[in-house]
Amino acid sequence: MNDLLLSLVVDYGGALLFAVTFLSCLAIPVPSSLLMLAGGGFVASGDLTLIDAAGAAYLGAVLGDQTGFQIGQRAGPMIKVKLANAPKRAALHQKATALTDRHGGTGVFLSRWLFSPLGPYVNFAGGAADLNWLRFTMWAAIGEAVWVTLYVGLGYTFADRITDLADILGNASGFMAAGVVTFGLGYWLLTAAKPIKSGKPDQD
Amino acid sequence: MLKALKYFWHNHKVLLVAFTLAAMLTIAFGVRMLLFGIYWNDPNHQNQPLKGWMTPRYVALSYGLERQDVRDLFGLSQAPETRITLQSIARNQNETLEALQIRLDAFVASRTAE
Repeated sequence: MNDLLLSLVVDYGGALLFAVTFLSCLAIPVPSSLLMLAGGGFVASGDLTLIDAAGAAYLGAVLGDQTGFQIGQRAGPMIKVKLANAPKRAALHQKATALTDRHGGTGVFLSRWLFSPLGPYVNFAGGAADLNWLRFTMWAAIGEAVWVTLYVGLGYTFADRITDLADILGNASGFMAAGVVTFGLGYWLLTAAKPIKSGKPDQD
Repeated sequence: MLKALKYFWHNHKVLLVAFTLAAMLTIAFGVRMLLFGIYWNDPNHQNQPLKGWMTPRYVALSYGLERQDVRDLFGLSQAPETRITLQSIARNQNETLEALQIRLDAFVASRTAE
């Protein structure tokens, strides 16, 4: 499958990179990291121009983020109606919204590249939680620039070993994303455990 | 420790299960990352065999050869220099990727012998 997609990068150049980064922002499982590395590799070999590789990938990512945000915004009201009938969950949702308000920008930025597997869900959640659009767009655009520069740059630098590099980076970003989720859930557990220390467990 | 686990199991089952799964996933990714890192560092794995998606220019870069030499080797001396995969080249010439690899290896060997 990956070999086929790599061949398609040769056949369709920037158009394919655009499509792949766009889809990856909507939680569709495409090997966008590998293909951006390949894009960088083909810039190094002289098969693609930098505009073709990095420009198309960047444009796809930015438009993909916007689409994900819009989807979240449309779905948001539906979620709220459902939550109205479940007060406990509604409180949780309110907490999440408050958190998004406070740390939304940083979250959007870091989920573009450092915790990239979480990116699409941040897009949906950001839209659903009514995160300020301008703030979302600004941080997403900066974050995607880091993501594209990083992967196309690494592909360019290590052009002759892109598939090996993709194996390492794929697992590294999975490690970072799963790690941050583990950390968050652990923190949540600890907060939930506080009553145990004060001797009166809550009735959750 | 056990008491805490019991408490979580009774009061926050879903959260505890989610945490455990996420932690296991983190460890799995971490181990795979390390294994691929070790593979990366092994000098025996640093010569990429030809793949169907590669282009002649990419092969030239990867093997440290002149572009024209690679083009000659793959029977493209007269063809315009376009972006084309080895797969297509092999197909156009009724050859296999292995045949191209053998020619390339022989050329590299003759070069190093010189």
